[in-house]
Amino acid sequence: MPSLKDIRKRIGSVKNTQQITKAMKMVAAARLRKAQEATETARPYSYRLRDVIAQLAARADFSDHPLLEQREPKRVHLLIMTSDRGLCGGFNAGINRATERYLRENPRGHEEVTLDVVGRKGHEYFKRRETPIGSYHREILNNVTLESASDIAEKAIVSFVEGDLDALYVVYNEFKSAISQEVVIEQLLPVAPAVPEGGGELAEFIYEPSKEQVMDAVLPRHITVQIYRMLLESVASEMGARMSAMDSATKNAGELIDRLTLQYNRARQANITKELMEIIGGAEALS
Amino acid sequence: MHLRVVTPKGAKVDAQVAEVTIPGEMGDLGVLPGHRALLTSVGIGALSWKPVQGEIGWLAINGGYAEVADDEVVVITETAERPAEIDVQRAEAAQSRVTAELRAVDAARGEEVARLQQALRRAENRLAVAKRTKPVIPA
Repeated sequence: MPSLKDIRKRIGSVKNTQQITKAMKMVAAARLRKAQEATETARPYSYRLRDVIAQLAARADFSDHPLLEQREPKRVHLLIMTSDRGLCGGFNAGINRATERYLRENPRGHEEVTLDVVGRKGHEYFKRRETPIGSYHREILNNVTLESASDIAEKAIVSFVEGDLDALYVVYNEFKSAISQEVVIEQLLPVAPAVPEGGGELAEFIYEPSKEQVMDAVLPRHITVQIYRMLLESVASEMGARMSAMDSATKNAGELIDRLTLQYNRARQANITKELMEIIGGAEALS
Repeated sequence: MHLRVVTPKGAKVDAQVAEVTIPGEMGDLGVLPGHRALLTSVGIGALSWKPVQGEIGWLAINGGYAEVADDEVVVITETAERPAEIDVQRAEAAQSRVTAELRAVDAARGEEVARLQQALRRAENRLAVAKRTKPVIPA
């Protein structure tokens, strides 16, 4: 049976923790609003661009541009997007699990899979497991910009064109709503053609100024914009996950405090009763 | 025919139109319903369109691509501003500042000159669109 003092101390410490989780929840909620807005404004642009690219790829020959070349995916990279900070529920665990499963099951029969990692959590996890890590992109999550997305894109494009890389897949959390996110694996390279609707022949595009110039400009841009959107989705998902995790932590702390308070009051009452019995017993013995 | 204009800051136009003029990198392109599939890079310039009903719409756009397919025009651009959104004073200030810088800069530094010329074209494009006219593009 813990003493009154012990219980009091325990209640104090749980209260402190609750204050911290509450504050973290508020911060995550504020940052979520910003990240959600950024994601939702970037989506139409990137989706439209993706549609245009798919149309373009459906009409183009693999020989038209190096980024369209479909090779057997022997040497591939997985770009995984995790967070720098923890305390965000299953956010990072989801990515790490999906990545590990992909590595284990190897559905496309790759010969060599290398990880490109965004976020400290994923880096720590896979470094400990001695999975080959190609690159680690740090300090981009605090402020996601097109420039940092373009850095990642350029590296991948260069190694793809040089033949060191046959395909690039991205593992990230797609933002669904403040309380839900979904781990998805998407292929970025080579650029995948759209499946023509109804199987009909597609009318060839007119290109201005020329096919080569248009493709040279639009394809790398597409990769950059998609990575940018995925980074934004990932950050918004992280904030959402942290907000719900901290919300339930705050609730749990509240329940614990209620239970401890009850226990404290019972112990206090038992003490008083015991003292009363002693006094009555003493008085009876004297009379 | 449907026109959509999207930028990284969200969608700008989503409307039924009768005619669109796209500022292609090689010159303006008029698009009418039933146009052949087309993919073009877009320069700095004025995008205008005639809606099915109502007044001609204008946007100052800044680089990107335009796709015409299946009676739909999709313009994907870095920035797109309506005449009312353009800060005329700022554009005028930019115009005179860049003009002065262009005069001062060494013509041998091609990169710097090209960057300034781009900036000047952006400023002039904004001013032209604010007045709802086509910019005069120097040859």
